Amino acid sequence: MSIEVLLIPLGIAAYSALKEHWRSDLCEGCRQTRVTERSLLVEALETLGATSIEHNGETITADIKGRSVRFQLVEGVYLGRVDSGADHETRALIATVNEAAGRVMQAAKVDEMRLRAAQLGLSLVGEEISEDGTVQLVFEQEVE
Amino acid sequence: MMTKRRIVVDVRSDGTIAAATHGYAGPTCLDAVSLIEDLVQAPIESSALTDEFYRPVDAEIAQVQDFNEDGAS
Repeated sequence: MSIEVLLIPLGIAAYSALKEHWRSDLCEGCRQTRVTERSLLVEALETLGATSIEHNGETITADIKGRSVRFQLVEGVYLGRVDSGADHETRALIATVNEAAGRVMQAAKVDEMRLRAAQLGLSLVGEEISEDGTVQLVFEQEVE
Repeated sequence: MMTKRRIVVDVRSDGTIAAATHGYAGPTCLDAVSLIEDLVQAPIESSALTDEFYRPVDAEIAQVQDFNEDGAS
């Protein structure tokens, strides 16, 4: 091994990029997600069984398990809340949405890499899923 | 003589991705960085050279041969 890199796909924010303090007046009662792209957020909500997903400009609304939820894009990152919900409910929603978005991104990236490898002259020689859900892909390149 | 090089990619369930090179002798591993970016289609947040980067090329090649025989771990 010679070099190790960490990559953050577009659509999610790096943990280091998340702001501890953001303008709460722009989304009252909201908490910060890690999602930066609408399509990823919508797909994550769909995997959670959300219904009535609607987007209007930078706002997304939906129903999850009978509760109305709202997301607002603020400074490049979606904030969200359970409408008329307690803060612990909103925190649980955000954690659930972040997990779902991560899984959606993971599946998309694994599929993309399987397809792209051949175009780059790489062979996929190994694939393994660890206990924590990480998918490890091993690519091989032959060079002279 | 053909040499096998490997890129090991960990796609985590939170969507972040870690990648490491094996067999890219010395500074040639830097060439692999752009290959990783093309493969993953994501910007690099951080990178770190490992101790093996500074090993002589001959030692690196020997290690790769061992790695190829043993497989990724």
